[in-house]
Amino acid sequence: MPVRQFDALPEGTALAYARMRQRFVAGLAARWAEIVAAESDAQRQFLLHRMSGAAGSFGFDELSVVARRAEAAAEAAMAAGGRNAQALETLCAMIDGLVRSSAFLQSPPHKETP
Amino acid sequence: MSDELRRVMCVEDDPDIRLILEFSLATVGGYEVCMCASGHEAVFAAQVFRPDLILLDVMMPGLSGPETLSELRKLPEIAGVPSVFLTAKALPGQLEDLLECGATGVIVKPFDSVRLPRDIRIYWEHGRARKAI
Repeated sequence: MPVRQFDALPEGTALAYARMRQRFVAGLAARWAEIVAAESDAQRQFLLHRMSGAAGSFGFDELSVVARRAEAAAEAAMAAGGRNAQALETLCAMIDGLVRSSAFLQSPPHKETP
Repeated sequence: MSDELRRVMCVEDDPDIRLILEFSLATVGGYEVCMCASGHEAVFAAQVFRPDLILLDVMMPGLSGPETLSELRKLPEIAGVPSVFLTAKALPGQLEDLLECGATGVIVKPFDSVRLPRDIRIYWEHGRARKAI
């Protein structure tokens, strides 16, 4: 994961970015509902794939990683004909925590990672 | 091919990612951006917008990224325009497959919104240099 440089953005641009993150978080519950209601493991895998890419691009790295794990679990479930409930439950708990928390909006958009 | 990178076309089905791509490329990067929600929309819009570079998601319903690129390549307006795939799946074999589709490069999601405008410029310059050879 590259180092991000949001500190260098002009104030108005940084504010626009913060608003986009708020919008993304506001839509998480709907994304989650869509994942739960997916008609097939293939559809669920696709929706998790999208969530992983979107979450990471908005700076929610942990959520992105968990969504990717859940995507891999859905892919494995397709192969095995079952369903990996644990990965989906972890993702659910994380989304729930994120949506309920207000602290994330005050946190820096991105963390530097080694 | 244009001498300057000004117009960027993005093909991405996820509305949130379209939003952050527009922020990154238009607000941060200062490019003129055309956002398309599907491959079919891109094939229609490309003839009018005439992009200098095309950025495509790989996994999309309907036409996938590689299928969209293949359709775009049939348009005379798009011949030689550098293209870059955006993908969350970055296994070595998959990256090679994407490059074999004719893309200049592959950017892995999640992408850095501040760096993306610079990264696509590098690929655009690389694409131009490759065409000149």
